[in-house]
Amino acid sequence: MGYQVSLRYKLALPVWIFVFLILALLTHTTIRLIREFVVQAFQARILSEAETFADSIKVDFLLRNFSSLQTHVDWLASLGDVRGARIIDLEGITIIKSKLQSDLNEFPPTDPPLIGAEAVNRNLYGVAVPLKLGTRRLARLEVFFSSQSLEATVREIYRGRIFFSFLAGFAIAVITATWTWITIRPLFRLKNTVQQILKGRTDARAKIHTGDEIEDLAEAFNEMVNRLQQSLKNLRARSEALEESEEKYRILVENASDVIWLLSPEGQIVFLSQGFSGLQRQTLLKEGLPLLLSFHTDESIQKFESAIEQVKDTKTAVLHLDTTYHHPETHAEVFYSTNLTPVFSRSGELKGIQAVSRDVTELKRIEMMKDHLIRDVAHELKTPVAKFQMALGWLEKEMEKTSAGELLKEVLDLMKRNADLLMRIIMEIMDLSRLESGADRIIRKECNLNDILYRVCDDLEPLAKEKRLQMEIKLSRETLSFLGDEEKLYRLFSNLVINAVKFTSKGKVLVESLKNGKNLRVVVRDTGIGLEKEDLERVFDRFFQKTPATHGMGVGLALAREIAVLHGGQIWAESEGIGKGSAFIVELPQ
Amino acid sequence: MMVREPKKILIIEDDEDLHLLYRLYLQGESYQIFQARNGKEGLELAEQKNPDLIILDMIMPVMDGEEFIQKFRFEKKIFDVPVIIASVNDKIPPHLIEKGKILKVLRKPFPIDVLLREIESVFKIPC
Repeated sequence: MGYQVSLRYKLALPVWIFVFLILALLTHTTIRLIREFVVQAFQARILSEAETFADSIKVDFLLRNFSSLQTHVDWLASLGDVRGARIIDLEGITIIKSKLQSDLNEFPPTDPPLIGAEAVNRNLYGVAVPLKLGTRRLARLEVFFSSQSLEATVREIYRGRIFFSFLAGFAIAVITATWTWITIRPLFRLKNTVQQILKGRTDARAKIHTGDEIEDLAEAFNEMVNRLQQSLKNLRARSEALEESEEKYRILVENASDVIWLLSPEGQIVFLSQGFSGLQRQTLLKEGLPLLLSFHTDESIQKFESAIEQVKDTKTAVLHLDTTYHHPETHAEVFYSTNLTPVFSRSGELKGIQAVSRDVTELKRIEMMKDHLIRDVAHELKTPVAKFQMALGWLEKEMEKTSAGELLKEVLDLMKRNADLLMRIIMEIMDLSRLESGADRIIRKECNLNDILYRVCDDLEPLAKEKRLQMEIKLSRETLSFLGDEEKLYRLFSNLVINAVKFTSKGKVLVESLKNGKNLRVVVRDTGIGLEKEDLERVFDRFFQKTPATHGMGVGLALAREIAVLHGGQIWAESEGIGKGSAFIVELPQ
Repeated sequence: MMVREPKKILIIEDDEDLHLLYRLYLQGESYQIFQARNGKEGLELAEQKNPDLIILDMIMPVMDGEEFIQKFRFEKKIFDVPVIIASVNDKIPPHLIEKGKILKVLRKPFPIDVLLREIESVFKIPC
């Protein structure tokens, strides 16, 4: 706050200046007028005095009684404010002149000659009157008066007027200042109210009843404060509600067992509800996605990055992304299953990617236990079943030598078939687990898919014939050369064909091969029972069965999928629905 | 075809079921079967009977297959008798296979046909 001039002075100042100017003007004009009046009255007086004197000496002049004239003139010159007198004849020669009063050394020069009463210098007035006889001029009488009495009168009048005008000016100034003060005093009250509100007394209000604009201002001000207070109250209530709701969501998110996080489209971690196993939340927020990825296996990093790209490109969610993570300290494997969902702004732009990661290590462990259990059970079953098969084989041979009954042979055949089936399932389980665990590897060699398919169809045609099914084969004319494991591919396709035959009661099984762009495609189509849409994926799960009463799928398709995936390919099922047949398609990159 | 002496096959195996099964399939005009329950018995029988072929299990009590081969091949210096190993474990220390005649490894369990084919092929090779 710099130098301040109060409003009351600012408002009064022009009034003061105006009043002062008016007073000055009035005083000035009045004084001049008065002076004129005073001078006129003085002149009239000295003129009449001189005339009266002239009349009184006229006789002496006519009689040329100069001594009497001298005496009269001297006497005149000694009267009151007269300083001197002289008589001048028509030729301009001074006939008689009085003695001069002490403050006058000589008669002042009067050229041109005086007419009437007029000032001859600062201190002296001169009056000239003619000495006449009838209308004839005889001489002229000049009388000189001191103007001191005149000046004194004027000064006296001046003094009184100026004093009065100063008094009036002061009074007006006081009155103006007081009035201004009274008028603007409510403004100061308003100012105090504002200061009180600023100090926190929000209930302070300005009570002003002046019946003018200041009252309007005060009312508007009070109204404004009321509204502001109301708005403030609303705002506070809303922000409290918001905080409460935020708290609710925060508790919900932070206490979720899953890791909930948000990635910006640029791949930065914007939000993270908790850390990952062995990785602090704060550290991750600081270091970002690269740190998180650095604890993942190479395969998982690749999977994760391509999933993010996919979400960004297609703007659709990627669900159940399984990644393997190594605990930063213990280096134990931790498995996460992540759902990546795109988040859009109101205008429909991609705002970020929401990720929900669940630690599925326990689930994975149980799954692995299950896999091990299946494998171990299969392993344990293998030797007894093999012995059983061997014993049955010997029995069969022995029966051929003797002439045993047909029924006995049939029963033996049943036993043998089922023992073989049991052995096949066991072998498939073993093969699958060996492939999955990496104990059995794909050994790639140059091969021709068509040759493999021929072999499969050739080997399995008897199986189809048994069920009176037609086996059709429609292979690409080109050689479908492929770097793959021939035996495993044989297993893959034969499993598909066996499956097709198994679930088809009439019609045909069609094996096709073709080139699809850069990929090689094999389709095994049947006219069998078909699949429901929801089962198209699940059919590849091991031991998938629709209901406990229906036929299980064994592990044939699971094994087929594993082989396809290990070759870098894909496998999927298509079906129009139950009863409409199905197609299993394998696509392998060339 | 000339009638010849039946070939002597020594089976060293601790599983009685398998002894029965081998006997069922192999006992006859062509082959003469000797049965040992472990490597130690096997060594004794091998010495007594001079078998033409040995079918050997690896995992056995008293003396296992590995020790048997070690003794049979490197102590007794018998290299000309073929051995077929029938074991659940197909990882046989390579130095055992380096020397000696036909050390075929069959992974248990195997279809009996495979063994029969194998035995036939052994005896087809002119000694």
